[in-house]
Amino acid sequence: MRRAALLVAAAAALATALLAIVVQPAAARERTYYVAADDVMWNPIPSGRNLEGPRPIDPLPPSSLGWKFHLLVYREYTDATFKTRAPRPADQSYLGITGPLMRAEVGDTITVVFKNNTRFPVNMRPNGLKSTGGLALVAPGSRKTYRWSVPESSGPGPADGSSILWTYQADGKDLADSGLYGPIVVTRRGMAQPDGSPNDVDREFVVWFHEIDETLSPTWAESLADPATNPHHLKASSYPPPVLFNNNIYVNLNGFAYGNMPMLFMHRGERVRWYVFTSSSAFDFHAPSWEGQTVLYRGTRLDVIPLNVNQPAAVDMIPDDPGVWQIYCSVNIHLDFGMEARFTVLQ
Amino acid sequence: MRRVLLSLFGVALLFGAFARPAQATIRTYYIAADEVVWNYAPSGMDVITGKPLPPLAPKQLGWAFHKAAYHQYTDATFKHMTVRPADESYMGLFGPVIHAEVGDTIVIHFKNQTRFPLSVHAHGMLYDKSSEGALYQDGMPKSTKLGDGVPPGQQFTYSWRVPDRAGPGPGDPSSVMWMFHSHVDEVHDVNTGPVGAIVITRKGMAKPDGTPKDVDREIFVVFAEEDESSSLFFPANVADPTINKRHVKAAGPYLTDDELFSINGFVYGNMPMPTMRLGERVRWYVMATMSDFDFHTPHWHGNTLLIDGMRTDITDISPMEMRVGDMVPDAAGIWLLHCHVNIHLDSGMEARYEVLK
Repeated sequence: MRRAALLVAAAAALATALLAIVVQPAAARERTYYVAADDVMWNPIPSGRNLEGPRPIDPLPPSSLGWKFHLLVYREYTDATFKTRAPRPADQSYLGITGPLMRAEVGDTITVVFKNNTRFPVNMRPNGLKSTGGLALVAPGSRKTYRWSVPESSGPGPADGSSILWTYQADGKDLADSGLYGPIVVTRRGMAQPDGSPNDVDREFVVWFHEIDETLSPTWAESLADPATNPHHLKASSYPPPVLFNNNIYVNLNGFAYGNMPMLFMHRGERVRWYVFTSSSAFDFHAPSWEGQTVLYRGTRLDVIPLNVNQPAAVDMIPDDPGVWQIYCSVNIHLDFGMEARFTVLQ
Repeated sequence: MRRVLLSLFGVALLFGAFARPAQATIRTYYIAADEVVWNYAPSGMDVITGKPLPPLAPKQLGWAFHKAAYHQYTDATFKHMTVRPADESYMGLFGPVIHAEVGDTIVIHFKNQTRFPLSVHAHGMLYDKSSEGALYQDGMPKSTKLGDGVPPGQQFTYSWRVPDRAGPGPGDPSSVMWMFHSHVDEVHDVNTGPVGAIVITRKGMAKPDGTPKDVDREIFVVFAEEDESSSLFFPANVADPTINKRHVKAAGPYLTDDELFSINGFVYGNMPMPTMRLGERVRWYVMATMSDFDFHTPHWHGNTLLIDGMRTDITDISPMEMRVGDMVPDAAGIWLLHCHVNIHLDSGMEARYEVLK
């Protein structure tokens, strides 16, 4: 009898201890990312085809260089030697030119060890997080360490879901069209899994609705000079000062156009959170649209949401309709020029 | 005593019968896409200023164009168009309106009476891929794609379910609006004209016809930059001397002066006025179409609205976005409803509504 009571007491103590471990919020973490700005050659339609169909890709106008161009992007490396790129998980290949996905729980600190591998002075700064390190541009070949803290005021507000999206970017002159942008997901305190992702969501996707005006990118001269990106040897002198809707504007999702973004997969009934954002090219007004499913955005039920210049948003979806569906921008000149991708809802 | 108990029991039974949400209903509509000649300014006047319309721009064909519109019919013969009540004449090119309650099923018998393949693609509803009405490479066999582009003269039946996710979210009022439109070649189809509305009412909040119980009057407006150069009828419009009276030549695949900034297909105040009474609970459903500059800021003069729980007299709307606003008018008179984007307002994106005493 006494032994039984002892056992019960021991079990209760153990349970209490376990419960304490589970309930106690994880200690604030320091999350470190090694990120370089790299100069890459990019092609928004690697397959060369319109994978959405049935319409073929519109031929490029004569004053367009071609589908390939040079671009600056943020890429993750494994350590401070910046010798090895951190491999992007296969299920994040759809992120394309978008910078590495960073995560934090409220209370954490993000440390970014940054190296500028490009030929241009660039920097890195977060939107919405507290940053030390200032805005000074980092000279080509140089490094800088940034510390971004994530106070309560950087976390979800009372009407937000368990996580919200912020972005980081370069903000030097002429860098709006460089390609230097990336996402930061911040999760409410106590709602994060160890990797920082929200514990009440089964799957997350990040989509950058992006217009890039190549002629405004610092890499424009390089794209003109490189026969790989300028096969017809167009001359810089044939370009008047940048005008609206010139022929070297590409609209894309995470860098991809005409359905070339790798397919996204989710299961019926999963709690899916979509993070969408824009950067700040001249006409970066977009209308992210989902087919076949609806989303909850600020408590209202929609399938198209508005997105202004440099604006992040998070919407929640519980897919219930299996099949292959589109995510796209409803602005017609954007959709006409391939601002569309596909996602699959599995049974 | 026993009689009292019995009658109490009877009352309880009756109460039970009434309190129970109405059973799921199948709502059937007969909708055709028809060809029309549509005049954006039928009065020939700028009704807002009382002056003549501005002169035609150099490359503008005129104010009237061949277009397509969805029309509701009474039955499967598609012989009799449902007559639109006079107080809905303001809807112009927009419509018809489909009403359903969460839990219902909507069946659309569609007939394409135009010369182009067209479809009916609904937003928000739950359907099989065969009822999507949108043509793209979605891995589905050809046999399921009939509804993605219904050939001229042919019919197709779309079936849409209305689960919770098609109804109002926690922050929405008792009903929300979704649009439907043709999606064979979306950009060109939408500029060709046919766009309609679906109102979904929260479960238990619908009258038998599907409209919300707590609303006296529903008003539907679509802010549309109609790019006639993107219309499927563009070559036909250029070639038709009754449309292109000045024989304007199209230098390329489009004209620069054929963007009409319209509300329900009307410009410069030519929209018949929707009317309402002081103190009525009026629900405005607002949407935009999808041309280059279909970003609008609808502005109501004279009365305020509640949108997303916030008081306003102006809202913002992106391409293909839909918004619901509630108004209880307390200022009688004729008031402006217009887009506040200056080039849109300059181009006639303005209408009027009237609040009667």
